[in-house]
Amino acid sequence: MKHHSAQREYWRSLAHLADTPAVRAAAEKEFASYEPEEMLAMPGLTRRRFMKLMSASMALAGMTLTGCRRWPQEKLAPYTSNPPNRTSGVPEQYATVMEINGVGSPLLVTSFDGRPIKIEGNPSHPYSQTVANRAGASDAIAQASILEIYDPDRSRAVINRAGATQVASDWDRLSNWMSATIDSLTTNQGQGLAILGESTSSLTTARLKAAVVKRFPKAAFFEYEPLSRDNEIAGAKLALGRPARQVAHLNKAMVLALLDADPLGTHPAHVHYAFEWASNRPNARRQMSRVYAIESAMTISGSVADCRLGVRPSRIGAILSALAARLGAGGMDVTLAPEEEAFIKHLLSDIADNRGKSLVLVGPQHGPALHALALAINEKIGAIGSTLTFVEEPDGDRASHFDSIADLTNKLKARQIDTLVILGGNPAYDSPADLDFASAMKSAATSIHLSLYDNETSHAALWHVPRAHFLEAWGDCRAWDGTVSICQPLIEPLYGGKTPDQVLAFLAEEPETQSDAIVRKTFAEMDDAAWRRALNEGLIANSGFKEVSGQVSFHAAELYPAVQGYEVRFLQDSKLYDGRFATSGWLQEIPDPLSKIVWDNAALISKKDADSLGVGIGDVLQITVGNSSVKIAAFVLPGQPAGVIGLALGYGRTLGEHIGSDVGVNTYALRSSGAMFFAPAQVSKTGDYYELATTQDHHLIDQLGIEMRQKEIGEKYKSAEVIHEMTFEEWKKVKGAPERTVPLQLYEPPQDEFSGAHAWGMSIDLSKCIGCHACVAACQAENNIPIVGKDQVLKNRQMHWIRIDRYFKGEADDPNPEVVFQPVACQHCENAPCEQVCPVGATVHDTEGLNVMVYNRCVGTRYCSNNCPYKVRRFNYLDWHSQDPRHDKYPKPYLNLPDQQQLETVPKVKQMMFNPEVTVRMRGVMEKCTFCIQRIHNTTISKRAQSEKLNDGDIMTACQQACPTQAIVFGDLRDGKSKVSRSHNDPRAYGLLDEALATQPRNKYLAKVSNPVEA
Amino acid sequence: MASVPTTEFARIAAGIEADNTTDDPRFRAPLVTGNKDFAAVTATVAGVAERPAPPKAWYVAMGVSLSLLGLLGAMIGYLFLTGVGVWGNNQPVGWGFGIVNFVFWVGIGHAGTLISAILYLFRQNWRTGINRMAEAMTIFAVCCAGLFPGIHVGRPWLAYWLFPIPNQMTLWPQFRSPLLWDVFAVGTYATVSLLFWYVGMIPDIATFRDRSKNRIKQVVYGLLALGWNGSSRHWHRYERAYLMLAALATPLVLSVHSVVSFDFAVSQIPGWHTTVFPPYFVAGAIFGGFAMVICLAVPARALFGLKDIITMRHMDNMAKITLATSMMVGYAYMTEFFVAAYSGNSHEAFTFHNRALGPYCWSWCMMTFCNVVAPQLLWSKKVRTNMLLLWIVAMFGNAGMWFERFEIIITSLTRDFLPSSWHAFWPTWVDLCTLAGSFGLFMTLFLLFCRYLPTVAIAEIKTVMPQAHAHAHELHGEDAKRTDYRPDEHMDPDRDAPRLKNR
Amino acid sequence: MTQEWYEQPFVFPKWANYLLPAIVMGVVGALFYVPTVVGLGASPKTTAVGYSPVQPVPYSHALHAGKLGIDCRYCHTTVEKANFAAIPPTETCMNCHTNIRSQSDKLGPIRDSWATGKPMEWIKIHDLPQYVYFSHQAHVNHGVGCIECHGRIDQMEQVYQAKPLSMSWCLDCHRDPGPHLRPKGTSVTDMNWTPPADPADAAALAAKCLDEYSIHDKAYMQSCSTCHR
Repeated sequence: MKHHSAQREYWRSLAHLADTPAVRAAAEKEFASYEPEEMLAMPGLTRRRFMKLMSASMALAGMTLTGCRRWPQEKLAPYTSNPPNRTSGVPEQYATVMEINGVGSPLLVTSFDGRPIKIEGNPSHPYSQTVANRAGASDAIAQASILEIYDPDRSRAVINRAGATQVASDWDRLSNWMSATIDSLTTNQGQGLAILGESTSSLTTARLKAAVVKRFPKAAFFEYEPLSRDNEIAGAKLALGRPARQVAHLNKAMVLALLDADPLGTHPAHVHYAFEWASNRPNARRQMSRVYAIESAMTISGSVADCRLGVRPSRIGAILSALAARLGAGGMDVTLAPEEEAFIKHLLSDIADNRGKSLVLVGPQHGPALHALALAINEKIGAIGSTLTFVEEPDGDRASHFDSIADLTNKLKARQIDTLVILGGNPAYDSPADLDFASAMKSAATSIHLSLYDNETSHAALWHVPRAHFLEAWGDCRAWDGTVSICQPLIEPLYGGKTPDQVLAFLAEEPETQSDAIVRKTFAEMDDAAWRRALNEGLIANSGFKEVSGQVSFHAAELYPAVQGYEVRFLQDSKLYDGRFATSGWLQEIPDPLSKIVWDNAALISKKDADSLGVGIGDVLQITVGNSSVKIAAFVLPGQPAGVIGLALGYGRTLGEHIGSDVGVNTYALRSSGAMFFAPAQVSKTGDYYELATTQDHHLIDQLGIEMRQKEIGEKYKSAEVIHEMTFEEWKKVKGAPERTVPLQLYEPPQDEFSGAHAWGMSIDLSKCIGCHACVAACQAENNIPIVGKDQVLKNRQMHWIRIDRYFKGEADDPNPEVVFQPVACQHCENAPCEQVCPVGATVHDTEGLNVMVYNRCVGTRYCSNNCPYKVRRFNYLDWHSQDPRHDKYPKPYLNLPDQQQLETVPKVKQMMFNPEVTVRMRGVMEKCTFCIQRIHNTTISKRAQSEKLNDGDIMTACQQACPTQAIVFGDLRDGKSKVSRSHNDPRAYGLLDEALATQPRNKYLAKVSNPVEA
Repeated sequence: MASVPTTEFARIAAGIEADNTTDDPRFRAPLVTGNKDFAAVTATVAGVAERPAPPKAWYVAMGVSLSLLGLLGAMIGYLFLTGVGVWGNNQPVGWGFGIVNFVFWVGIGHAGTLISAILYLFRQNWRTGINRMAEAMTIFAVCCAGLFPGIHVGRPWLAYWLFPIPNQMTLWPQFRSPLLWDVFAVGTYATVSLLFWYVGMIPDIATFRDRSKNRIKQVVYGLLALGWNGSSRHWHRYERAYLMLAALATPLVLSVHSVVSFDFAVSQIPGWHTTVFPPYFVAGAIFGGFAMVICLAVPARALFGLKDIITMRHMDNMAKITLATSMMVGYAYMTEFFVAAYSGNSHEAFTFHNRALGPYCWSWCMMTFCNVVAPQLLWSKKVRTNMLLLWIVAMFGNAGMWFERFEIIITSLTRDFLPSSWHAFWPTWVDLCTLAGSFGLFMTLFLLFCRYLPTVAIAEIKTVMPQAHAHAHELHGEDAKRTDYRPDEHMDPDRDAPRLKNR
Repeated sequence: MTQEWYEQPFVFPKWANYLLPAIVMGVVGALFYVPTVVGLGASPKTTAVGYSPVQPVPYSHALHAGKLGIDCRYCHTTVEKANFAAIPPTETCMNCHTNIRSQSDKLGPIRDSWATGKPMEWIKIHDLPQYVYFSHQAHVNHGVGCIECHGRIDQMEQVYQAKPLSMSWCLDCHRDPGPHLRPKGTSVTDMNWTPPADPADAAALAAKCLDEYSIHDKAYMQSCSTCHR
């Protein structure tokens, strides 16, 4: 029965969104008597979108004999009454927001007949927009949350773990059971009630906390985030005398010094920061910023920096204070290593020339004093007020996350807490190892865990309560600058989950129990018009934090003790964050931007250390910190500073459901309260070998190959066949349009081939790409791209239509190599090698210049893929959607009509995720990037039908829309004024391998411009 | 010089295999040894099919072949029901064992057509001993070859779209694609070879029909013989048809493998995109084909007592052709490297550098050793006339040709233009079983052929026997009783003089 | 001594001489017969046209669209705005049938659906393969009459598939759209509209339509990507 309610709610979702009494009434009636199985059955879905929804499973229906009625009879099940303001089959978009670590990322979600199927950044929100009100950027994690909501592994029921037994239960039974506890709590004013939450900026949560405190004055609130940025707040507190949040303005910074800071990669506002950073790389006024990175790990920001210096984490303090001293911002001048000396010499001179246009940032893993010192420097160089401003930090005086969790654990151990409510998070997995939170939880008589998944913490708790996904629930949170966004649901909770607010409201005995009412009450002062505007735009105007100004006072930085042996540096994972996204197959299979590893984490180690330890990629290391140690495979990463072992957090989940369990190694085991970000360690070689799957240079790089690769990608800052680049100085000299040298052709291609009304083209700016993989995830979501699992990636069968080639330039042992990211999707060659060899003509170009792949004509000879010089074609070697990405080394045969395989074997819930505008490919057919042809067609068709003009930017490919730096530009080359035409005429433009093969690609790359110091 | 015949006689007397490989300008070496007359030849060949039971070795071989054939069936079943993913193919390497095996088997086929058609037109009489067996081998090799393109596609149930069949989609295959040319080239080749083989067999089948005691055999052979009665009209028509088919088949020897080589030459992968491929592939095919004929002939002649018909000289000649073609292949290898170096195309240069020294250098070494080095042994007559050694060298030849295809297809694909996309290829157990299975199919067919059909062109071989010569009658009467008869003494200019004196 | 019959060598009997002409004729015949049978038998014209399943409610288009003359778009509301033509919700039926024939047994399922909120389940007739992306708005807004694909719906007591909906059938029109178009201002839902009888006028009208709807790039209309993605 438990599914029943949930499913019925799902089907009413849109009625609810429309939210008028009449519709509500109708919706109440609708499907009142359906069974859950029926609810999830495909006919149920065809009800919503009968023409194309089943493109998924029906992809091949009738492919053998078109017209023959071999495939099952389809039913048309219309609404009993249409929800108003909706045209069935026309997608709609709703603004909402996703909160991670207390910071909201504004989103715009596309809903197709009641199913959210695609996520974009909110174009009207300053922290996600790239083109005002046109395009909003997002990141891979946000893109992948669409998979999370339809994850069949999500917990579906309240679970009671009394003793060893595990009883499926429901919310009502829990609340009844709780009432007794609550009565006792009311008598003793909430003595012994502890509530542990994730970091959140929600005003509603704040309101409800207050309400709970009002009812239970003695209740204690705790907050924990494993990747806390409290050091920044504390630093500001030291410098300003009050907690504050730092807001950088990278678009104003012409000189940017990053000391272990990663504003483009791991910062909560990285999407916006990347956008600002890109505006000077280089800008229209022929200016270009210069980025200095001094870091103890290879980060995204460091990899695109112009000058980079890899150092031990323990050196950051010394370098910073030397910097401060030289700038007269206080601090003691310490002696630096020669290379450090040389490095900051340039930095200092650049800062001197760019007063008010420079900025120094320190990473959150360094102590408050360092942040304070950095602020002193920024004050000195006139950064504060121009490139760096302060806003107030919400609840800035709270105990730091690490103190908070320690405090809670001690209270638990001291048996001062008998009712523990954990709202989200997974402390049993990610809290400091020395606290042993999981066992401490046991000492609370009652423990309740609200979570999307029945995870490690849930298993340690007495009760598990399924949480509503953010796409299913109402809520609110604030962006980095404090702008408030309302989180509105796209669909009713699939599995009847609750929001943290609902739990708090229950504890506070609030009258409202529905999440919409709860949130609306928080914003009671807003009238309905304002409320609707807020929902519509996805933000409440002028709701940002107040600016904070204050005199920065100098504080001496503590100098870390020098470490001789190895140091481990704990890293925020580029995909799994702190491990909470380990259940997402998409994220697991998106390669790490730098190591390109999928489905694993590794001990990132420098070539120097690898040689001294005598290990290579895949050799298992034993890493010991204090008295705990882990065994993890080594990965030799160019640019990794010597003496530092980089360990990504978030892997080695034991209860990460089918996808996330036992992937990689749990490095939290080494992370103790004392040393949350880096710690001295002993490293030794075990002699074991473990195979790591990477999507690039996989085990085929011998000396010969390395030489050839170097030849093709070229020297540092020098052009070569594959990568064209130039330094800023050289770029200032180049003028005019690019000249294209084509090898002699045997015969002229026909002239009228591309006679279409449009000529679609793309350009990718190599100097703007930061390799964040947002485009890869966006493409995966838009185009129903499957995952294949580690075993298949080892066979190099990953299916991503767009991949990001990452090349290290410089000698193999260069401690600071140059990194180039080159996104490669189908180049849509006008003279396409693939088209000429297909025996059945399944890949041809249309008159608008798209190289189209006709799945239903493809027999799968794979000749096109062989002949594609870019190797962007992807073949369905197996029926990926029906495969188990974890364990199908040798897949089982399927004994029915092959085209029915997905229909029968893909979980119904997952089928709801498919984009009905894109055919889901079956096994045995080739596929590749289509320039998002479904977007092109749907836009052009409706524009024509309403006889409107098509403007540049009306059509955006999924990758372009997601790209935070706008490196990708798509448009019509016929229109001479379109962005893409302009970049095709940019002197930096070149076609990949065009000189060698005359493929005449419709996608052009813009040579990378970098701004190194002239030696 | 006069010692030749006596030693020859001595050998025969001692029951040692006849060595008719010597070339004495004064008389022609016999193509059938063992002092056989027409009846004896017929008896020998027909005997194979007439003996109540084949030798034990036949049963053993058949057992092995059939189980391999079963394995092939199972692998194909698994493949169809699961997807090409059960093979080792991956992203850069779209073509793996499937196409390697296809090209290998097509190549094997060539020797048959060459022997039967081209040597026939060139009046190389010695061909008659082996052409039947070679043609049979061609047919069976083509069967194996034809299998792979069909099963290697992602959706085999749609493979018929490669044929120009009118359909309601009003769609045709794309005639620019070399794969389509393959369909026609291999199709034609299979058809003509089959016809040529069958037509050539008709008189011999008729012989089987007439000799067989068993009614079933009589009827079956009878139907196959198409009512042949040996009338001169029949013979005349037969000769004409055979000649025409030979003329038809001859260009095919060159065309088929040229077209197959276009699959690679026409594409633009470094290492594929080269003009030397057509002649290079044909030479390789003939090399591999002859190697295969030798491999089959050596056991067959021993097994079915055909040593006097498929004589030492036949083996010797085939060995020589093998040697010659192996040198052509070696030359082609060198040309490829030269072109790669000379073209100045860095990708091409790297590909060959990579073949010789890259991760797959072992396959390159295998290829070079088997196809170029090992055959050099055939310079020595001792090796050519020592059946065991000859067989081993031929076996190397077969292996070498398979590795050549592996080399060309796999190593070129593993590393093409963009370094980011490079990836290794390793076969799965399904790949290996399928390869083994294809040999099962080949051997099964061949063993059935040996047991039930004329393995030697009886009618044709009689035409190259001395008895067929105008003067043969002189050997009748008492001369025929002489024990020192030299099959070719009638060639001896001063032969009659002394005897006339005796009269 | 005489031989037993089975000891006689096998020779073709006399009548076997007649086999040759027989075989020749057989082969020649087959060459014509087989393609014809397969061609006609497997053609969508045979397999698809006339498909007319019995619907849960015997809704008569002949009555509603024909006799009563209700416009197609009264029920199929989305044709001009969306890619597919929505099947009307139960509500639409109830608009009239709460008063008219409100007790008719045939309408039982409709009333049940309205009462329970359980949707009607109509059987799909015009069922394109799922890899074909047909857009109603692209056609309806460019002067392609309903009748072109659906036939005389207004005369169907029980709807059946009137056209083969095969690829070649689609292409017939995409290769030469002119004759299938109606000028601006003529309703696409009008079942009785016919192009001028005089071929010259018809051609002129076709040209006019192509201009009006600016349908010029016929090569594009035949690109695979026009219908397949």
